[in-house]
Amino acid sequence: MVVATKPIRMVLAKVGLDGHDRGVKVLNRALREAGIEVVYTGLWQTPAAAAKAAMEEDADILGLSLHSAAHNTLVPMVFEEMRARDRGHVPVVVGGIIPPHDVQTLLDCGVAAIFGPEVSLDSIIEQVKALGVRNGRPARLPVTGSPEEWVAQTKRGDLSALGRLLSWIESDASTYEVERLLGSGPTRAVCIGVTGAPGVGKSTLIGQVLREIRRRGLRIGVVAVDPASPLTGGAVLGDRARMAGIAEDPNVFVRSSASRGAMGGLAPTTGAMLRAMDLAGMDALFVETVGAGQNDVEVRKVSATVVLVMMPGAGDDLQLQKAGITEIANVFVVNKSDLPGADVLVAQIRQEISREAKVVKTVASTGEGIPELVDMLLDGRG
Amino acid sequence: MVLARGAMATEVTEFEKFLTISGRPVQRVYGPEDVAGIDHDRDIGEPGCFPFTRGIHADMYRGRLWTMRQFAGFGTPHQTNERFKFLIRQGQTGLSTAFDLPTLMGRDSDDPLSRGEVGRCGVAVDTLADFEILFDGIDLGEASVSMTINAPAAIVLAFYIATADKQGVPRDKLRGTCQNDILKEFHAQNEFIYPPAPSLKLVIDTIEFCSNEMPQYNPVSISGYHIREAGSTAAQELAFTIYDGITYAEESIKRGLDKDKFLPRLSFFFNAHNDFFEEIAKYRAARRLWAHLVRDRFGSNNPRSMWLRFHAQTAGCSLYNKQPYVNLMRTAYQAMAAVLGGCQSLHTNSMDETLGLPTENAVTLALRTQQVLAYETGVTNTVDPLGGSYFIERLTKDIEEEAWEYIRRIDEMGGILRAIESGYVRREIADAAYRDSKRVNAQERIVVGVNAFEEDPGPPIEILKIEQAAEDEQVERLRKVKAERNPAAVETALQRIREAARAGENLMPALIEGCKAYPTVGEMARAMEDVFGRYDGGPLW
Repeated sequence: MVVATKPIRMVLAKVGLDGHDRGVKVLNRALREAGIEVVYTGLWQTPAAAAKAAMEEDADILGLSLHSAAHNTLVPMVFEEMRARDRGHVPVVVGGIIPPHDVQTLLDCGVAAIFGPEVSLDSIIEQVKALGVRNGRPARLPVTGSPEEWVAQTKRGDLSALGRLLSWIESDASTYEVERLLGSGPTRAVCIGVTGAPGVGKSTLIGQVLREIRRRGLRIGVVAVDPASPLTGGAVLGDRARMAGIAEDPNVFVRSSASRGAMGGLAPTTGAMLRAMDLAGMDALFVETVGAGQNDVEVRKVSATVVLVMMPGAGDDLQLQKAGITEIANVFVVNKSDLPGADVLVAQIRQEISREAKVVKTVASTGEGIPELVDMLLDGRG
Repeated sequence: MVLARGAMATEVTEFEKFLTISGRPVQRVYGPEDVAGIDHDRDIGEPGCFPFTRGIHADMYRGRLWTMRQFAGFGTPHQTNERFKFLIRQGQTGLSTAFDLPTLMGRDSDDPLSRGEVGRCGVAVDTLADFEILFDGIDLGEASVSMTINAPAAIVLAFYIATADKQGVPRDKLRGTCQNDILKEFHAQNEFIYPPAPSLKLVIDTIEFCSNEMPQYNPVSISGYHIREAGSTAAQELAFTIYDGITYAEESIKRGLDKDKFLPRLSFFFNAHNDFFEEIAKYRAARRLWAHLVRDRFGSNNPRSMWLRFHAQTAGCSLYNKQPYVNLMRTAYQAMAAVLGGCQSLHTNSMDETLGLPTENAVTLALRTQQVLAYETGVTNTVDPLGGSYFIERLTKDIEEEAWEYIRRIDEMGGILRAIESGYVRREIADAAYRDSKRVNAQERIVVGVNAFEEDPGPPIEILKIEQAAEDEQVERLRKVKAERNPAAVETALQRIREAARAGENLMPALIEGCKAYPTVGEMARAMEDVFGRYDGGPLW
């Protein structure tokens, strides 16, 4: 089997309680410009959450950012968590504030490289690229295993295998092979697409929706789609950073996916990825896409329900006049409805879309309106 | 013609080469034409006179030196109490408290997420009992106490007030500053708990309470320091900080507070970065901007309300592990810029701050840096010695104008809460940080010992180690306090906090009386979270 060339995928996590994120964000952009797919999991990660993200994303390399002197406690825990998820082989690098007397301790623990504030971006990129590849192939791909095995393991609920299966779907698989192994019919699970303009709180909303669905005992899969940079092929896959409250929950599987410039904003393989998650036994599947334009019409092809998230005062007329998304959306969410103008926006939706349009007002940051929204999305399944 | 084109190319290249750290072009020479539009009386003013460009006092450091306020706080409250006493013996004139990350995030030492973090980067505080230890043997009526705390600031301020109550110190005698600037957490430092709107309400609660009961205390230190540490330009640091100040002022006025009672108690906190002239100009522009806003936007003619009093801290982001002794020189020049810019108090970073908490030796050297500046260099002998410089006056005006432009833009968006929700501020800062990193990476901006002059690693320096014992000790004390307190009284206190939050009341009375039953920071923070919700951050940039 020939392994196709594709970007190295790196998960970046800020582990611990510190919120200083200048370095990790600069590195995020620099790595992206260098052609690496970066999944930034956000602030306040626990070791378990960081390792879970690395497993779900099937990362070639895991980068930890620490500034709070908790590294000697947290880094060994990350390694334990990685081994527990069958990812002990993935290189782990550490950046941030690490005193010299702790460097050897971390290296002995298994850290592959340590980057202090003075290490140049070029040097970091070079080392990440070197670490992210093994024998000329992305490090994430193990020497053993095959798609058939991963499908069988996934059907038995093995989420570690699901991570590998998703990588195969994204990179090596032909459409024919995918359909042969996964089938092409509708999923057992309910499929929900969520879209909305930047700043409307879509990711926070999804985080709350996921928590509510978990409270009802259902298992969830999420595909978060982000546009790749057309220049280099790298991507900043950052949406999982907003799902912080469920970062450790093994019954929420989140996978980021680069659209790589595909028409419609969705990665070409999104439908197959959803089917793979369905095989793993997920009850509800979500696709989160970026933007709120013509590009997002594609979300309908993989989702029975399409949610458009809006907020008051964010160019309401423009939101509603975008022809494509409003025609295929069937649930409208007015988030941040504690801001002025929420009822005006609701009225505009009913007037311009349909008097019977399903509209829910939410305040995702407090959870207001979330149970009602989830009732609508699950449509009697939970 | 070929020669002319070559000359132009050279000129363009030269122009682009000479930039401030913020990326602002600097001319080869400045002269009278560069200050032609600046009127001394209207735009600059005498020291101590509107618009206070040259300083808020007529005699500045001839009358009184800046307060040498060094940050302190690590390990357990006992250890920090010892450090406070050490600093007082060394001549420090004000106490400044740094809290550990669990405390800053409203979590207790026994919270699973606190593991490995307790007592590192600051002192661990879980209940009022810890505050009693922290200030044991220190008269709160005599010491000026500053506290660096933001999201749970109202809780920690309540602890401070309750400790003073217990010491028998009248509230109107309490002096100091609480950072308590939640808006900059959404821009830069990310130490928030609740969404922006209820977070802002909590700050206004503290301003109202202090305005009424603690007239000598500064409830807010409106902070540009962290915005700059996150990578902003100097003008962005100024603009976003001032806009946060506008927000606190306007919300306080909306609540009916007396302008001339609370405005004099708003203090500011700026970064002192490496670009010497740019920093001096930034502080001068800050005073001028604020004076105009107070007079023209808030409608006060009281000079004390117009004063922009600021604390400065040297730039942590300018320090490096390599050749750490070089950090001493960076800090010294940064401190001089802060003084020539007219700061009211100053923290000089220790050379080892990128390696861990500072050792006593490093802290002493940092304090001596200020003392040499104050007593040996002569820069304190005259007010605003760089005033009138063509370059300084031009740069002051340029930075001020750029800041005004940002202020207008945020006004057009509908204010700072809207700018936070849309990610505008974070995006501006992240873009500036990235541009600067690329410049350093490409050696377009030289950092000595880091991207040039790298041969010699320099001698090793002593580094402070915080042992696990600090965490174990703190968790054990917390366990003891929990075992000994009255559970019914604790629950009553927490319920009272929830009720006050739900009713939209000022929360300070409930927090002060409630904390005397010894609920924990985490419990009090969760009580408010039950009403306000939790925030996981705005758009990613």
